[in-house]
This record gives sequence, C-alpha cells and structure tokens, in this order.
Amino acid sequence: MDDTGPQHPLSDAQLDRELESALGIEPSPEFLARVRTRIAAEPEQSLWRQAVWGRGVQPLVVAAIVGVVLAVVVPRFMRGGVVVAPGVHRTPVTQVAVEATPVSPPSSANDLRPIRRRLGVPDRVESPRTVPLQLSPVLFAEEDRVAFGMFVTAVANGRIPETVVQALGEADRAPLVIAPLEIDPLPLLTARAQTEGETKW
Amino acid sequence: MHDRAEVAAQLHPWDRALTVDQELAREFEARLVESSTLAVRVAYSVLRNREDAEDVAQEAFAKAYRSFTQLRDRDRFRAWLVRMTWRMALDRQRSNRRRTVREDHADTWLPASGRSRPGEADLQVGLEARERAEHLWRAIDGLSEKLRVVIVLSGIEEHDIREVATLLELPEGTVKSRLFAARQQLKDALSWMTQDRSTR
Repeated sequence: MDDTGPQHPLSDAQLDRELESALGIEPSPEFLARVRTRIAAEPEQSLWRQAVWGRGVQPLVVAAIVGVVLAVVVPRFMRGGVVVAPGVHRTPVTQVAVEATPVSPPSSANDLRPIRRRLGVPDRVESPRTVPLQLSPVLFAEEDRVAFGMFVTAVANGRIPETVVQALGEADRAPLVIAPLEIDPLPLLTARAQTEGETKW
Repeated sequence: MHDRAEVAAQLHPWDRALTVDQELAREFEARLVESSTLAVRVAYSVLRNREDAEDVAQEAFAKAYRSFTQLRDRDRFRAWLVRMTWRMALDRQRSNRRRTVREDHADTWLPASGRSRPGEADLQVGLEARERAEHLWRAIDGLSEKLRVVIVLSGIEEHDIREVATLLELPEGTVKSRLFAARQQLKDALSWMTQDRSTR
C-alpha cells in the first residue's frame, strides 16, 4: 500500500456498497421459530381481553372507583364527621348543650321555683337524666372536674351552691359603674395621601 | 359473499373473542415475518454480533406482542420496533462492555495456558473484507447517535428518506439533512479506501 497516493472521498455508490455489505446481515433460519416459541411462553393473556381492557373498560373502572370514593367519603364530610387516622384513639368528650334563656339571676334557691314552674321543670328532679360527665383529664385539672361535677349536680337537683348565691348577692348590691366611652375622631388624611392612596401606618 | 364483520356479528360472543384473538395473532405473525430482518439488522448495527442481535430482536418482538393491541398499525409497529430494538441493543452493549471488562480483569489471573486465543478461527475469513468492515464500523461509531441511526436505517433494506422519517417519526427535511451530514462524514473518514484501490 502506498501511503503517498492521492485521497478522494468515497463516491455515493461506493459508500452504499460498503454499508450494504456491513449491514446486510440476514437473521438465521431458526430465528422466526425462536421468536414464536418465546411468544408462546408468554403468560396466557387473550389479545382480545387486552384490547377490551386497554380501550373500553379501563376508564369505566376508574370512573366507578372515583364514584364509590365520592359516595362514601363526601357524605361523611357533609355530616361534619372527622376522619380519624388509624391508630389514633379518640377520647369521647361529652357535649353539653346549654339552652340560653333570658332569666335574671335568682337571689336565692327558692327564687328558682317560679322559673322552673314557668318552664315546666319539676322542682325536684328525683331521677335526673344521667349524662356521664367525662371531661378530658388532659384539658381539665382534677379539682376543676370535681367542682364542675358538683355544680352540674346542684343545678340538676334544683339547688345552687351557697358560694354562688353569695357571689350573686354581692354582685346585686354593688352598683355597676360604666365609664363613659370616648371615641377619638379619626385623623384626616392629607389631600396628597388621599389622591395617591398612600397609607403609612 | 359475506363481509367479515357480518360473519363475526353472527358468532357467539365467546367465539367472536376467539376470532378476534386469531385475527390479532395472524396480524402479529405478518408483522413478525416482514420486520424480523429489520429488527435483527438494527440490533446488529449496534452490537456487531449476530447471536446478541437475534437475542435482542427476539426480546423486542416479545415486548411488541405484549402491547400489540396498541401497535396494530403497520407504520407504528415498525417505528416502535426500531426504537425498542435500538434501545435494548444499547443496553445490551453496555452490559456486554461491563462483562468484558470484568472478564478481562479476571483473565489476568488465569494461567497463560488457560486463556483462549480469539481470532484464530476468523483468520480463514477474508482479512481484507474484515478490515474494511471494521473501518466502516469505526467510522459509523464516530457519528453522533442522531446521525448513526439515520445512516443505519437508510442502509437497511434500502429505506428511502420518507421511510426513514416514518420509522423515526421525524420530518423528512430533518432526516434528509442528517443523512447528508452522516454520509459526508463517512466519506471523509473512509477516503483511504479509494486511495488504497487507486494505488493497487
């Protein structure tokens, strides 16, 4: 080989020939048979089922799942139910509904009777509606729970503890003084601030 | 003569399902026969080894079979097959390289008598043709992947620009310019061949 000979780029035809000879490989005669065997070893799944699943059924299944989730979860939220994460223990807390009735505070336990009669409540409640009072020990101290329990029991039995009556009586005797309320006039904005909308606080 | 759809409509649903299955299987068989050479050549252009190329092509067909319901269109099937084969061949090439490096490393610990002597059987094959092919592959490897895939596909089964564009799902103009650039680079890289011939 003479290295000093002239170099010419390959012609298109020459390049095509070179490519053809390099890429012109034919698969072996058993190649197709091997592929067929390989495909036969694929897990049995009907092509028809594949087609149906891929085209029509999949969106329907997704829609059905979404529908079920909406039907179950949304009403719970609408009812105000709180979804508790699994593993979280909920302590039942008694809800005490207090009906607000505009009644002036009685000076003694006897003054409750006409009010009770007017409201149709018996003077003595022999068997009061038992509502288990369960206050969370985390939120309420032990003595507060006991005191509140005593207060609820006293109200339910138609008697108010003496301390409350005394406190109410003292409150009646002391005149209520309300200091006159004075409101300072609002500071006027300067004309410039009004026009520019600037507000410096 | 009955229309195929009419015949299918008269069948029991189960029989109809079987018929559809058979029809799909028949279509797949047709694609397999007409595209097997394409797949093997694409894999071979990356791997340069017939057995590896056939293994990769076989796996690509198995994958195609699993998703055949989405690949029933002929052009779509062939484009998908080329892409999948090319990608799988590159993966195989990477793993082959890793294995070769490991084996070379292990070979250094073998006694000299235990080592194989590659190439002895190949000496019977025309050395010149082999050398030329090696140079051509080296030149093809020197191209960027974009240019390489275009030149390989145009060299396989004499695909024209439109067919390569369909296979690669690229505009014809893009394929044309890439093919021109690739051929130009190959011609320059292989110019020694003409020098060799002219001085002989």
